[in-house]
Amino acid sequence: MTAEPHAGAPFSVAVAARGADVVAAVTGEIDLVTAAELEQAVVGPAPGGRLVVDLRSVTFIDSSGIRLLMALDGRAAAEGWSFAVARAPDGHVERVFEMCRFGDRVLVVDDPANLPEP
Amino acid sequence: MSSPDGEPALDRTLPAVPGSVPRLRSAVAQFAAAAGLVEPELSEVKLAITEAITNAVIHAYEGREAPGTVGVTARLSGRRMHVTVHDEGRGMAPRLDSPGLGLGLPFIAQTADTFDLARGARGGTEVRMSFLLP
Repeated sequence: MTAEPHAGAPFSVAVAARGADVVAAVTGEIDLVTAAELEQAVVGPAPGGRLVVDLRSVTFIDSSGIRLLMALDGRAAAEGWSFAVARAPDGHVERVFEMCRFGDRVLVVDDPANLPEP
Repeated sequence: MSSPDGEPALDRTLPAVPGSVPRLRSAVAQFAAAAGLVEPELSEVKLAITEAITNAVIHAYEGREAPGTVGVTARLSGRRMHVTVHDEGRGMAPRLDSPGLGLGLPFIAQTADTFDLARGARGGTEVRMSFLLP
């Protein structure tokens, strides 16, 4: 009897306030299961603030993850805060962003520490 | 992986529930890695099969009280890996209340070398994909 293959890298979200920004740093794989966990964990900032979802430690993302990010972008517009996503410039997340031209809709940066003022 | 061509070298079926998505993805990823696939192509295989499995989980048994099953088979043929995701649900159908953005099939089209949709032998949907190996 072989062991059950591991069910993906451990998933975690660390949410921290940084001035008027809320930064949600995500680790692991984002799919149908973990996108729901991320949605639960993310807290929207106050109006005028900014939410940054940091995907630099995310090794996999699918359409469930893209759908959540687009929903957060919609919330930002409705609730009066701004939204940005950080990702490694040469990894899988960037490849998926390119496929669906995500950067045409949402501010995408290499490093959340170097964001412009909202 | 030393299986004769045509024999499924990976054949796994699980309940069509969200928790089966990472388990089946992991099983295919291990098979693909053993066949020699490396990044970035390995993650693109994972994306394609994740979209097919997620479609089965969300759509195939919509309106039913109990979920059915979703299964994955994979086999090697020359320098190509064939992966089929199958369910026994209602078949792919237009859905006015679809919860998604319609990104799943385009992601499959972007990442698989070939793919097609077929009605399964016992109803349901088969998503058949192939990927070139290095």
